[in-house]
Amino acid sequence: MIYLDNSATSYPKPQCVIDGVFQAMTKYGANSGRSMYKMALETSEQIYKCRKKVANFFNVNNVENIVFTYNCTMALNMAIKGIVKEGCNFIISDLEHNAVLRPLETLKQNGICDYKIAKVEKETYETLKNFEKCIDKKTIAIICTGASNVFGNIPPYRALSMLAHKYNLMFILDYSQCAGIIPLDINECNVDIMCCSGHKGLMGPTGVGLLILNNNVELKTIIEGGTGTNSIILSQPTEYPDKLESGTPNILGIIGLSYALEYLQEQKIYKTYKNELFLLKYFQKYLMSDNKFIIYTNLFENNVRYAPILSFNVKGKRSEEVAAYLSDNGIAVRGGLHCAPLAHKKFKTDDIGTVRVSPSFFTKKSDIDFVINSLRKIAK
Amino acid sequence: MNKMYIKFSSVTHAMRAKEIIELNGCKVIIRKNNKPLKNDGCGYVTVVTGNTNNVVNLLNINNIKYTGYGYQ
Repeated sequence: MIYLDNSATSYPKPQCVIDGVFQAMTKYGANSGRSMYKMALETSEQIYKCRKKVANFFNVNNVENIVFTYNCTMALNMAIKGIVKEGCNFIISDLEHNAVLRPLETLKQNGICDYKIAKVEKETYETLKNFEKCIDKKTIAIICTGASNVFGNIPPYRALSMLAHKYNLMFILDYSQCAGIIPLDINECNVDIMCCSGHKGLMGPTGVGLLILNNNVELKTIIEGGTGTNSIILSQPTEYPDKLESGTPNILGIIGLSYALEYLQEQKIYKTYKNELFLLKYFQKYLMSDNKFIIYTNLFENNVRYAPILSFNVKGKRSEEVAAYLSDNGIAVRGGLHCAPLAHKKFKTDDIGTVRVSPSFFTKKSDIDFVINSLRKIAK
Repeated sequence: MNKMYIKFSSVTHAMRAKEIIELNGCKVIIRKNNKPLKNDGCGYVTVVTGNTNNVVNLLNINNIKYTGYGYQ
């Protein structure tokens, strides 16, 4: 199988991640942060090591501010519901995933808060103007994706962070599509809360997400329970990360992520990103050579930055049909709406969806050639 | 040699403390708090051996939260 669905989850995983998870299962089988015997403490140490690696990876000052969740959706829910106030307002981009939209829509339907959608333009200053227009005295935060999970375009999140802080708003970044692919320094970018998954570009196992807090952000909890600490007291602990990590964590996943982070550091992720973009540009050139294709991601545009994601359609066919055809030919891509209805409305693809191609570090040029050959047949 | 016992509610805080204290030349072992006071609930203790004069200061400077300490 040629796997080009890395925006959903990366595959294959590096061998060291597979070995790491196996080792976790056999060597670190105890629960972490609870008991006192040797294996329990060693397991806790492995979790701590991963926390430190995450902190180094994103330049987070305080290791306690790295919170392990089970996925990015959970992290975003914890961020949004952790800061929401009755009658407040959020501003989000028109590229957001349902992981942002649905929690906000639910809060809105429950009469708790409202949200406004600002359009991302090709020019940064126009995007900033759109967001600035949405700010009012009820606004508490700007939420923006690091890159569209459908079209790959990168909104000007650094500038949006500056805008948010100019108005004393919180800035929340959904970095799911970029983490492990495009380096991020949380301090330099002045992100207040960063959420991402561990199983996409970070190449870890599924079932691990990251919620990273910066600038002394205080979140209310949405899940309470056992933390292995202060058990006599019924109130939830107030200190991070325990406050936000109730219940047994995904120990296997976290240890796997730890190995994945080491792997990414060794591979130098800048190089990986460049290679993935090179492959997609090569693919786009082929699509451009045949007018049966509609291309929504233009990697050759000068003023737009892209994550390694490309969306296209074959004229006269639904995206699901093309994805199914490619699947029959041993190629894994995703068709449909990719849980991002706003982005599809923006690109006027909400009726047929798009075929999304997302390579990884392991994708070769010969894989893209195979896809091209398969597409030649369907585009006849 | 004096042994210093520092209590932490969170294993993450205990591990961060271990790292910083060891960088300053002391030996640190982490274990569960096996003699918790009524209000301690569950928690961890770091046992520090070596020159412990500056340890509390180190924890404070690095903003590491501990719930108590003592010597034996």
